[in-house]
Amino acid sequence: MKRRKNKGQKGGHSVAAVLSPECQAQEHLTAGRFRQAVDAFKALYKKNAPDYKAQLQAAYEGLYKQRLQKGMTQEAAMILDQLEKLAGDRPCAESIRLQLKRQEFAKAAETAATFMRGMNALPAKDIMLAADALVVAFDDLPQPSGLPEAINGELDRIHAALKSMGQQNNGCALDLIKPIGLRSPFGNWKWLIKGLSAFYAAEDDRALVAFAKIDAGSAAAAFAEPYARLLAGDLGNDATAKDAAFVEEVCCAAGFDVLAPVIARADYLWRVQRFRDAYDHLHGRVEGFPSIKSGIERTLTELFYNSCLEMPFDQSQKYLRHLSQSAFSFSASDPIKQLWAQRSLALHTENHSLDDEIILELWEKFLSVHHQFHGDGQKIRALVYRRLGDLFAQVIPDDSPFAFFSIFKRRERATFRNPELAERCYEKSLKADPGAKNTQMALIDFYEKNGQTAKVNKMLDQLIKQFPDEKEVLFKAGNRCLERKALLKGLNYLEQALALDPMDAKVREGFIVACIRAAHAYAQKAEIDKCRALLPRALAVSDAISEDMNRSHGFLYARWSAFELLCHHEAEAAALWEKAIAHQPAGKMTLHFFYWIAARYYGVDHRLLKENEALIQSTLKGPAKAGIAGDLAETLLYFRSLPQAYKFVLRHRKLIHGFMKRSVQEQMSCLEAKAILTYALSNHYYSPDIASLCVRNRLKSDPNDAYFRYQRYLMHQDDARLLPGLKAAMDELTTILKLSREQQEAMVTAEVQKQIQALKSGQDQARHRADPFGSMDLDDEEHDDMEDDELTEAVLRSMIDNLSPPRSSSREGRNSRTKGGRRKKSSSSGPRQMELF
Amino acid sequence: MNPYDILGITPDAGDEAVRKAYLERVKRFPPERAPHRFAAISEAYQALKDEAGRLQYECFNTKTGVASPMEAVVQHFAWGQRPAPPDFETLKRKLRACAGR
Repeated sequence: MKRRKNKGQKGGHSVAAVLSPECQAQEHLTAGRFRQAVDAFKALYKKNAPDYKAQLQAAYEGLYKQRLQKGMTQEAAMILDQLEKLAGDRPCAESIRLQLKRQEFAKAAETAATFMRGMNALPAKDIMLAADALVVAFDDLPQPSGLPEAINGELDRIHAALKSMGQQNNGCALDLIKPIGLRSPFGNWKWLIKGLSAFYAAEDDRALVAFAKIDAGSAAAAFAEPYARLLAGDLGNDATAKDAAFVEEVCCAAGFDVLAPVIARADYLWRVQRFRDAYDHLHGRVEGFPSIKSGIERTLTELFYNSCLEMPFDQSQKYLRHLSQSAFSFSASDPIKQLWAQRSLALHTENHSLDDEIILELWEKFLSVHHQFHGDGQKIRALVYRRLGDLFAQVIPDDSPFAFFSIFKRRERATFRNPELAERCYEKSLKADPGAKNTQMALIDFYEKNGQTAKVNKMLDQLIKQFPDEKEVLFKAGNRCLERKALLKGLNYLEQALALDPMDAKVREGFIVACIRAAHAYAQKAEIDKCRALLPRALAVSDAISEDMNRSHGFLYARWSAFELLCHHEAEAAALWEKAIAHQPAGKMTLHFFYWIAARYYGVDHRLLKENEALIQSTLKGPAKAGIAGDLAETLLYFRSLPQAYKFVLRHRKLIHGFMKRSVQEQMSCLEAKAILTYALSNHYYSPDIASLCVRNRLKSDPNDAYFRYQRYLMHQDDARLLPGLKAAMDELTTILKLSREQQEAMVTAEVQKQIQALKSGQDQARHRADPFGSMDLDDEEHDDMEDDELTEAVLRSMIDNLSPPRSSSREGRNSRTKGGRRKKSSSSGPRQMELF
Repeated sequence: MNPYDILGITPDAGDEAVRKAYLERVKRFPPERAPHRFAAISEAYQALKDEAGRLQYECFNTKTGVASPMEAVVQHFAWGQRPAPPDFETLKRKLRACAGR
């Protein structure tokens, strides 16, 4: 069957075809299609003049303004004739607009004066137009104007006030306009002068109020608009804001008259993502761009040279190539441009984790350009190499599926991003600034993680000599001594550090830990007096009311009791245990569980711990209680990375597991449930059944708990059978995000945001795969032909050409999921643990 | 916007000058009256308060400060000195242009 063509009809026209001619005409008028409206109403006017005169006039007026706006004054004049014919005897004020458009200000003022003589019969909009014509005529106003005396007086005042403003005499301008009433034909001008005075006096709120009172459509309103938008701080996103002439006016209002046309064009090019053209437009036209000084040139420089760091890789590469061409071509010799371009190149390369040697080469090139420009730059050299050292010394987490089996290898060397370069860069940094304490500390950290203990010790000795009164140095040296088992020396350093800053929690904890370790060592050697001398020193800086297993009095007394038992001083041990128990809040079992494991770990004979053992056994075999399970989970997590303690716990695994499983079915508080879940998801005690029961039970009592809803979401992700669809997943994540914000669960919020981002980028990639050519590249139309241009600087070419797409490297941010999508079991959550044992 | 203009200093300002400018700005924009400005001033001061920070900023700052050239104008207007009004002839020319629209 042949399809009928319907070429002439588009969209809504088919609907219009069934409308009556009157409705059609009205529709054109409402939609701003004034030419069609005039034609339609003209036909109707011929049939019934009185009924359609007003609409025809409105259509003509609309068409007239449209033509004026486009600068078609001749056509506008013809339409005006028609309007005047329709108006008959009544004069048409729109002729003033035409005269103003033609810049015939004297003529416009003359017409306006004619209107003003009979202004009582005029509509408000015509009075406004006439007043505008009279004001902007200034000295071109015909004399005598023939205006009524009152109006003439007010007009003179407005003119004088504007002149005063031009002479920066705002006070005088305000005095002059005082007598003008708000209902005067010049009311808008009064508000404009008030607004401008306030604007230049930096009384922004008053200026905004005054500008808001000006009637829309008046010349005063058009003049005030850029000022008002500038004060609002946001130009908006409408057609006016995108108009280059308006943007120029805003720049002028802001005091950047000279830059106005350049900024307006550059802003347009920037908005349509023609970044290279925007750069070229500014460059050469704005003196002092790029700049290393302050001022708008500096802000523009930072915008144009740092924006590439946020662009997609391909786009940023094109843009950077352009910046480099501009900076390093044969004809270019602007060292500031070279400095900025080289800096952006280096930062971009670093951001995208490109080859380490290239990153180093680019920063060294930056240093060389900097040296040429600024001369000696040892501090910059030290800073750059320190940054590179930190970058290359980044530790790569072990993602291997067998990582679980090495949970007790605590001294294992870390895998660094590039240890050779890291060491080289740190050394270069220290060569440039040998007194840099932080760089030395960073290098010591690196050596420590890399297992180079001899170098650590040597550097620490040097550092202590160099900075004998630096808390960080003493703390580091103290901890290092503890690791080398030089307990007394370590204690001495830590005590010195503590004396320098007694409020530093980290140093306090370090000192307490050192005391405990030294006391344990003495107890093992049966030197109980030395042991007893140390623990009160720890108690003096520890917290009386705390549940921290390192720092609280209760746990310290418990440890001391264990040390006494180790030396078979049972009476002293019992007394100390009493003291310990006195610090435990009622209903808590943490201290008992702690003593149960710690005493065994310290090597106390089990026959001396019968009472404690019996209590633990009866508790674990007795009725399930979520609170006690929470205490147990916290204690087990504290001891998890100590092989001896872990082995002891494993012997009771069945009993513990059974108690935990029964307990998670009881009513739990949020904190208890979190502790149990952390235990059940930890590498050491991994128990998916307990985790699942815990989440389910917790959500039964509070279905809107963001933390547990997120855990349920992750569990579903782990189990393919429960995997939700993309939309369902997104809905659930959105709900969790909302709940987590309400419940101020910052970590859940951050994690969920990452998940949502990942889901969205997954969707985008899927869309892109489905339609690889669907998106239009708006970037830099003028520069499409420049892609194959050769760069003139040989070094730069090699640098740019070496830029390869970013690695999907494991060096970048990792989340808690492995490649297979399975969630890694948490190994870092739970109570903190210092290097205590 | 760049932190130098937020504090109203030049990049060669010393620690003392930076501190003085910071205190002057904080007095002008106290946190209870202008919390956003106060936050920006504090951030700028943290970045530039000592020589190490200033060098760090010069070498490694990656923030653009503004999102477009026009925003640079708006921000500089907001933080800078208020400009002088145009002279009478400029005012007249601009008013006439507005009337002719």
